[in-house]
Amino acid sequence: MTAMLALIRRDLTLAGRIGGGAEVGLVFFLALVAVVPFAIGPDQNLLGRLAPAVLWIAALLATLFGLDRLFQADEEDGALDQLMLCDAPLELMVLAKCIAHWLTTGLPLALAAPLFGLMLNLPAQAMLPLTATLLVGTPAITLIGAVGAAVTVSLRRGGLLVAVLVLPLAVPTLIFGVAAANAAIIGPTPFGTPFMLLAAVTLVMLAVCPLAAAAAIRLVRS
Amino acid sequence: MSKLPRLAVENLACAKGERLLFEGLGFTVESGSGLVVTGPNGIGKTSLLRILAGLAQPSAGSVRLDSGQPDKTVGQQSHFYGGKDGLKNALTVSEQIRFWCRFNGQPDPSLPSMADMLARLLLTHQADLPISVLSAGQRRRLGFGHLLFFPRPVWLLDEPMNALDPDMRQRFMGVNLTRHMASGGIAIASTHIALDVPNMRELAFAHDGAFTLGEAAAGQAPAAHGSRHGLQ
Repeated sequence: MTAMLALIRRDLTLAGRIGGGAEVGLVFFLALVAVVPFAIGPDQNLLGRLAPAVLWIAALLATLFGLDRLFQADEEDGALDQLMLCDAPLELMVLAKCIAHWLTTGLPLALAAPLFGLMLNLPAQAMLPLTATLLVGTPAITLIGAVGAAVTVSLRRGGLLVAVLVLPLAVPTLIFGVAAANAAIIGPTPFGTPFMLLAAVTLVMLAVCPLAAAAAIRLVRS
Repeated sequence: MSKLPRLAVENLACAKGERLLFEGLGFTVESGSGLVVTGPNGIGKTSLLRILAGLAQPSAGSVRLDSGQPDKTVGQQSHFYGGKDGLKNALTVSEQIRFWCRFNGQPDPSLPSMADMLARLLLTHQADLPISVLSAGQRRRLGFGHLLFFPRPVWLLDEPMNALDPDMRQRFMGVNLTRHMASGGIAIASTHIALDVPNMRELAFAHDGAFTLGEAAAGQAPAAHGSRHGLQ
């Protein structure tokens, strides 16, 4: 447990020092959201209808952005060897890195989403539900992405491959996330049903992905 | 540690793709002694050390630590010190040490103990420098701190003398290796540069993957820094 906290703390420090975490993800998110109204045209109602989907896709891509470096940086400088030889199981180390990654990408995205939603004419009553879906859903994307990052840990240009591996697995999260946000705007299904399913997907990923990612790292590295 | 640990390697083989690097390798290293692995580049020295640490899988054979902690793997009782040092460029020297302490479940070092740690690494004046600006030799010494501050019975050292100047080789690496083995530790080092450390046998690989296990000349030899080990 102390090892996990130490690793989270180190990764947060590094993310703050090196950059490339929260700021770049947010700017990427903003860029995607800013471009969409130009593509859709001046129909404000249509834009508002599409806003949850656009915000979710933007959040998905922004989370994936840079995820290939999750283990690669540690692999390149040898820190991954030390993580593999420490007393705590590798699975917990993977989980710690995922938590740190989510705190620097997913969390800022979720918190900034209502603000960016204004640019998409997102209805006011949907802002809180949308933030809630992103808060609950983005951890799943980070966790699935960790598996992709683990598989590609020794590939120098694994970025696109991670995206290709991860996007299909992220589809359930995307479906339930957008469904829940839309339910809050237009109904008729209650917000709770898809939201619970979204949370369930995240919990499953929380249980499965650290195991899978750790297994992938062991396999790829030996 | 009630009983003294002993590293036993049996019938080890390692293949890289189609090419067999070595096979039938067996040796034991008793507590308080060491092994120097020599041989030409690409002969499998680093592969051997990574297998011993459990970071790579052998194609045959086994590695075990007798009288070690049974609930831990050999790797969890070993330090692997190779070309990659695991240091983070964006951290300062003292932040890196603080991270190690927290990571290994020790309290944040107080100022005196931090000063003591830095002194043992001969990095007293570099405490607040970012690791990215350290010289290669200073980096190597900082990376070695992981081994010095968090004792584990087995040290696996891949080219430990690299980037150290002749003075540091003896004053830093030689002294610390001798101390580790004097306190009952086991050290296995691959090197092209003579280690002036007592109690280390030599495992010499030849070009064809054959190996001979003998007595290392180090210990009796004068401090011949920078000279190369002969292959028997």
